[in-house]
Amino acid sequence: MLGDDAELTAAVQAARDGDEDAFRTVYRAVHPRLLGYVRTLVGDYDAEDVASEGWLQIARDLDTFEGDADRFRGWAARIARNRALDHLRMRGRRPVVGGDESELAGRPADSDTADEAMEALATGRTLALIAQLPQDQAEAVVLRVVVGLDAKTAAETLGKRPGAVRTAAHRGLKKLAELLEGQAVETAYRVGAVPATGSGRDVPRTLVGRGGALGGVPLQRTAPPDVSATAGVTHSRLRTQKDM
Amino acid sequence: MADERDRWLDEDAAERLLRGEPVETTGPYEAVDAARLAGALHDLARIADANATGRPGPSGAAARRTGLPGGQPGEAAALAAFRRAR
Repeated sequence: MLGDDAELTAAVQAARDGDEDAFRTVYRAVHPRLLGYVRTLVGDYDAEDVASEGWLQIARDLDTFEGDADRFRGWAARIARNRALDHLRMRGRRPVVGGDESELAGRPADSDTADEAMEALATGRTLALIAQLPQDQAEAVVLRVVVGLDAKTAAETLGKRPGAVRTAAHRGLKKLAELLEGQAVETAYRVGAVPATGSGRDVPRTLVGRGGALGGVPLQRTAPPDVSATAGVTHSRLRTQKDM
Repeated sequence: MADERDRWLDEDAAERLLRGEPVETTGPYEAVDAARLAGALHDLARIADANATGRPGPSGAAARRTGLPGGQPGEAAALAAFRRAR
């Protein structure tokens, strides 16, 4: 994981006392999480800039913060969120989540190696699904999973009651499960795991799963990429037999 | 379809998945659904890893190209702001 909580709590305290190395530690532990969250709000292209604006404010207002690692992540996420929403307002745009997932299609062109390209695709694939959730559900899930907040701190970050955020996250996971299932069914047909497609059965297994995504086309809603490694062709077959 | 299939995904199960903990399911199909959802959340959690210095991923690659000490674009700017505020 990115930084142990006790370490982060101590680093935040030391940074408040003016320790520059401690501030660097805080930045390195929290920035990757904040950036992940901001990406889901403003998209890949503007995320670094918006997160940077957030950090300027965090650095400036650190004196006013009190609390442990979890509260700090929540406080930082709230600042980043406000910067992101300002950014969207100024441009007359809507958040990426609850809207157009193409903003989060990943950036394979930035990748130096095949591994990175694959990782970028997996990232983009998951974010594209998240982007299809309503904004409150997407934010609840991302604050929990990416930023690493507990339910209470996530609620504080969003200015809502913990019960409302818990419900939003629950609904978000249900919707996500539904989207994943839809993908798996389509994949099963596409790779010929479904007997009714006849010759499709001969498609080699090597084309299925993560390896196949590289040779395929980028993310499109009409032709979703193969499901992640957790649900390969075996799972699709299970599904297929049941659904027939 | 999903309404019947995802009965296992109650609020408790959702909470466990959000914490990265295993969930109990009653049948093989439910187990597949649970594993797939857990896998997607795992991928989602790894976005932060990909954003970190030196890890694979779009931002990692961008960070290395900037050649900044520490590797992260924005770190230098944040540090400068930290110094100014003190």
